[in-house]
Amino acid sequence: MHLERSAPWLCGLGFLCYMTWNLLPGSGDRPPRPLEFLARAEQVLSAKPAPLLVAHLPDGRSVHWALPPPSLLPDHERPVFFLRQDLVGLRDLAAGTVTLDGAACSVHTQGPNYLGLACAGRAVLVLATSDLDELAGLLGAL
Amino acid sequence: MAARLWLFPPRILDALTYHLPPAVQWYHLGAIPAILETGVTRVDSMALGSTLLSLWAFTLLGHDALIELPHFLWALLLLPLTRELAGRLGVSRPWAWTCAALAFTTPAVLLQADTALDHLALGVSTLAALLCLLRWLESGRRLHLLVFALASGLMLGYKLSAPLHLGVFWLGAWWVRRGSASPHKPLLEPAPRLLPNLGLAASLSLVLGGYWYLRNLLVHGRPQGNFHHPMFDFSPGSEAGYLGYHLGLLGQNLTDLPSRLLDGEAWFSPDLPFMSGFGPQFFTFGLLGLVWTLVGLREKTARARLAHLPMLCSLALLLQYFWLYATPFSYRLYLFLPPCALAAGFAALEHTGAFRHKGKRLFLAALALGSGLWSITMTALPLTHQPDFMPTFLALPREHRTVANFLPITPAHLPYRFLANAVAADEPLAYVGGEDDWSYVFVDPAWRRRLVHLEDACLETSTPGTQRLAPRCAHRLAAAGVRLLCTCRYTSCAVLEPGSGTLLVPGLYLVPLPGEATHAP
Repeated sequence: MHLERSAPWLCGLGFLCYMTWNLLPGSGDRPPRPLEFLARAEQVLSAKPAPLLVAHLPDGRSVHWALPPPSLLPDHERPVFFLRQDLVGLRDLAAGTVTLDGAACSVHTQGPNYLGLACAGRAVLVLATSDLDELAGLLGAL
Repeated sequence: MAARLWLFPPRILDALTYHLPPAVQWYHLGAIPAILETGVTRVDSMALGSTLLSLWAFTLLGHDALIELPHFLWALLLLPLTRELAGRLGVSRPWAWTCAALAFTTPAVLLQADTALDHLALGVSTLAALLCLLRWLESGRRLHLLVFALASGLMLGYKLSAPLHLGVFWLGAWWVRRGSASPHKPLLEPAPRLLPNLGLAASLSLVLGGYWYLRNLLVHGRPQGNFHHPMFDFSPGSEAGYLGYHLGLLGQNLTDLPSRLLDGEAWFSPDLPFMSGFGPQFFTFGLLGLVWTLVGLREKTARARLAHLPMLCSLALLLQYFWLYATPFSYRLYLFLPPCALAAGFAALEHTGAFRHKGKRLFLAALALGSGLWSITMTALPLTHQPDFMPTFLALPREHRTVANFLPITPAHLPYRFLANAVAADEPLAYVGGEDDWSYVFVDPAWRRRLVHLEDACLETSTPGTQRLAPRCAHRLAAAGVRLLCTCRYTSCAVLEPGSGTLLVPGLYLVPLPGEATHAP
């Protein structure tokens, strides 16, 4: 029977067809699949992370935040970070060393539930409450 | 794949809309009621076996970090199952394992293995049931029939289309039995003993997977529930129209088949849009299996037919779906096909002696390696609409790697981000939603947030461009002690009239409970 001789070559033909189809540009704007993959990988690898706020606390612990991104609040220019009170207290944070993307920050305003920081010319707001009423008041005041 | 499972949250739309939200509701209710209070009413008709597994995965850690673990395990199960199937078809051990590895690295499998969907569970349980059927047909032993019943019961619990699979299996068994008897022992027991055993097996299957059908029968009056998709509509209506409609579906599916198998029309993503996700391995080895099976249809003995049964059943199932169903995403349902086709392909190579010749052996090994590596590479990066955000996301602690933080930032997504990062998880939330709205985005990883669903009619038009909460719905919120209201629907958010509540971020309001004052906007 022919299948006995030709089976491996049929496999090779199938592989060739599939790869040719995927190595040629698609019917729409789709580039060949490997290029698609490389473009995506390049985008991931070359991406700049969001502002990273790092605090070294007096007790030796370190805490970092990378969220939320600046567009969370109407004031797009000012990164706002929400401090989880179960992780670190606002007073500890103010007493520690804080950096934004490696630049040292200094405290310029402080309230019972927020901290305003200046980090190499950038203003950063840290909201330190998950109480909705307080949060609403703070956001209303922004 | 394991890293993806750990690093990324559930992120497929269907999982966020109707696969995971019922699990959260069951968890809060401490029970699995027949009807859930949700805008996504289809969950009251679906077979939710996969959702139940997600609930178990959640209870392992009390956290949704491993919520997709069941599908990962289904994918792993594919390895021994495919190896066993290939072995039964006469493939030698190293090549049977090669075949299993190719089935496991099929792009569709790799893509679905870290989702909370149900297609992989359906596909692999179908394969398991098919293997058990083979074993029972070979041995005729009651034990093997009961194991087949167990596998079938699992299969029934994942999708309402699973009874179609059972129907095809029994047709296949009938076809095998019609073959001429072999000189060895008969394929099945004599009928008088067979019938009670079949009754026992059917009962076992129904106990395992029948709950959802029984619920549908009791609640909706029909086993398929309130689905009105043609797949579940067996009433002929106008016979000519019915036939024409399904012939059209079949024609469309057959026309699309080559391009779907070539995977060339879209990005690889778990929903497999306009593609099969079967990868180069199917084109390389699976199509050969198809040819081998079609040639094998000439075989007359029952034993010979048995060898072709898995691929033939898969093919019949595929054609059955083709007759009933055509969507850009339909190939998610056909994950039973690649392992069967691959096993048949390797069986064809084994039976034609291809593995005995060193040159051919090396050539085939290179093809297998190339197929596997291609599939792994092309599916390694999860699809995201914001690749720039990936390094930031991956740097987050696990508790912040939530679906709300993974989604691209659009105005309609701001409430999700805000809730996930600024609001205590035990603060309940009301959301307005309908049939296709996702609610899992509101849920924290520990499932502490209680959700109250409000139907669309709860938002009444106030002035052009603004809306207000209907009084009866406001009373519902007050009675439930809920102060947060999200008015976003998928891509846009309703604006409430002034005085309705405090705007936290666009689409998210703090609505005062009776007696509370509103905050300044």
